[in-house]
Order: sequence, then C-alpha cells, then structure tokens
Amino acid sequence: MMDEFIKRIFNANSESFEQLAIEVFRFQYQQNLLYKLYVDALKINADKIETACQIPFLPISLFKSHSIKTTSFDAEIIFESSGTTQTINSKHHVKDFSLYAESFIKGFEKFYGPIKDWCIVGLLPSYLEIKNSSLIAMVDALIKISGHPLSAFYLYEHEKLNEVLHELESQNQNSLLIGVTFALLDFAEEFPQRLKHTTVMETGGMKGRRRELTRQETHEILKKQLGVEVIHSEYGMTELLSQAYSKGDGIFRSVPWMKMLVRNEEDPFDVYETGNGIINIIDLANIYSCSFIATDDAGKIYDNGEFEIAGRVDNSDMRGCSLLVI
Amino acid sequence: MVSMGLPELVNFKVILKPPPTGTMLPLTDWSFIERAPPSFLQERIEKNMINERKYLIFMALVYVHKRT
Repeated sequence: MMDEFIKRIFNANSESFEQLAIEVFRFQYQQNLLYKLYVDALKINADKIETACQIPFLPISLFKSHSIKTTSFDAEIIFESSGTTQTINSKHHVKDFSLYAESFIKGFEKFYGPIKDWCIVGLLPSYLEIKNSSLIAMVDALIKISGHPLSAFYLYEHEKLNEVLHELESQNQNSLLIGVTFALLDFAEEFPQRLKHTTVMETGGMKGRRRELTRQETHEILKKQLGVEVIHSEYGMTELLSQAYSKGDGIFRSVPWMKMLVRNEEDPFDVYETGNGIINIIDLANIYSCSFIATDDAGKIYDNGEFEIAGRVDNSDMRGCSLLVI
Repeated sequence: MVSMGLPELVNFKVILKPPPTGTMLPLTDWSFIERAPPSFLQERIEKNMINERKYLIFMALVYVHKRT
C-alpha cells in the first residue's frame, strides 16, 4: 500500500499535488504523534483541512530538538545539518535511504537529463568534514551513478581540480561543478578560466570562511572568473528529501512533488501561493518525517511557481538586543 | 533526543511587537509568558503589544515540548 502511495508521490503533477498533499497530511496527522500534538495544540480540526494552504506547517526548529518520525521505525540514516559549536544541528531521521535517492535522482534528471551523461565534480570541503550530510550523500550517489572516471569529490585540491576541469573541457564533456559557495569563490580566484562545457552550481553557504556576499555578487564574481554565462544553484536542506534548482539568476523551480508557499510574516496562519513572505514548504518525499515545514527563509514566489530566496529570518533580525520589550 | 531548552526552541521573541512599548523583560526569563495569567496576555494582545497569531504557535510549541 505504501509502495503505491510513494509511487503516486513521485508521479505528482500540478493537478494531483493538492489531493496528494491532503492525503499525506491525514497520514502524518494519524501516524506522527508530535505533529498531531502540534496540530491539536493549535486547535485546528484536521477533518476540515481541504486545501494545501490550510495545512498546519511544523516550525523547522523542531528538527533540532525532536525526532520527527511518521510511523515507528529505526532510521536507516540520520542526516545532520552543518553548524558551529555554538549551534544545535538539525537531524532528519530517514527511514529508507532509497526514498531519498529516488527523490534526488528523479529530481536531478528532470532538470538536467540522465546522470550518466555528466561528469560530476564535487567541491564541498566543509560538508565532507561533517558526518551524515544529506548533500554529500546526494553528490556521492550522483558521482557513482555518473560512472565517469573523473567524477569525484575534491576537498582543497584546487590544482588537481583545475587539471581535471581542463581535461574535461578538452574532451567536450558535459560536467557539473557543484560546490559550496566559499570554495567555488576560492577556486575561481586562484584559477580563473573560461569553461564551455561545465555547469557551475553553488549550493550556498560561506560557512564563516569568507565575507558574506549577496547571491548576485557571488554569481557576478563566479561568472567573471570562470567564464560562464550563468551560475546554477541548488536549494535543499537537511530537513527535506527533495531539492529545487536554479538555472541562473537565483530563480528556482522545485520538483513536482515539492511545493513552495509563503506565509505572512506577521500572521503565520496566513499562507498563500504567490507573493513575498516567509517560505513554507510541502515536500511529499518527507512521507516518513513531516512534509509540511515552516522554514526561516524569506522569499518570493511567482505566478508560474518559480521562486527566489531573499535571505533568512533569524533571531537577531527580530530585535537584535538582549532585553525585550513587553 | 538532543538536549535543547525551550527558549532556543520556541524563541518567544518572535511573538513580541516591536518597541516602543511596555516594560523590559530579561531574555533569560523565557517562562515569564507561560506563567503569566491569561488576563495579562489578553491585555497586551488588545494593546497590540503581542502578536496573537504568533502567540498561538508559541503556546503550541510549549505544549509539544512538555508532552514529548
């Protein structure tokens, strides 16, 4: 029964999404005690939920403090977010790694075609240094599936990476250089070049290694230094099993089984499909954790479903002082 | 489960309306709102000092935290 349900999720389209989201909501309300407690505490009648926008979204911070599980299971893998020693990391208990694999493989191929046509080059040093990163798991799998002999991770071996890219370019090989932002900038500064057959994709994040730049500033530097017309981006997080991709200018599109909504910054229950606000995400691939997540990312959703991320709403932005006014 | 206190989890700052209003409340006194009588909170909601909708989420998180 669940196999059929999961099959329907990965075959979702704009017509079927809403109905699937309601079904997943009912399933998770029944089988996820924490989510049920949260919905009940809000005094929301689950039986009266009829649209995706009415579904209660779980604050993402709960992934830091609780095991978010739908049904009872021993996780095959627990993905962990990166963070500093001062922060508490999110943990995503994943019942079945193959569910994640199905999501990122189908997602990648939807946007970029067969993985076997690509050489995958990962420049993700900070992620490689933490255990159980979902991003590393994804790129590692893409590297293996690509089957290309030069597909690999590179930590800080910029000279070697430069040689590999030159070789791939000389072979006219479609290649994906996927990297954390600070590492891409470091590499681009050290080895400026003109890439013709390589797609450069940033996954975000300075991780405290460089001065924070806007996405536009970052892309301008990378475009100039690496000689590419656009910088692609990947939007994903530990708490999600699905991704969104941008093929330039920071305009993202998500996979059909994931949908972005926005909530009013002043009224978290006021959720709508387009416009500016704080991003709420429905990721149906999160069938065994929680598919309805209220993130701390601010953004804008366009009428065609594409979206932009404008930054994060964090605690310091709210008041920025140690004393509060009440 | 990782050890995480309620203050980090619920970040009650978000329910507060911006200054200038009221008295100063130390950030560490996270349980203040939870302990406060309903009339205290209702009065501040009416005076537009507390965001009522965010307050609902705050209390839901407190409830979840205590029950799990």
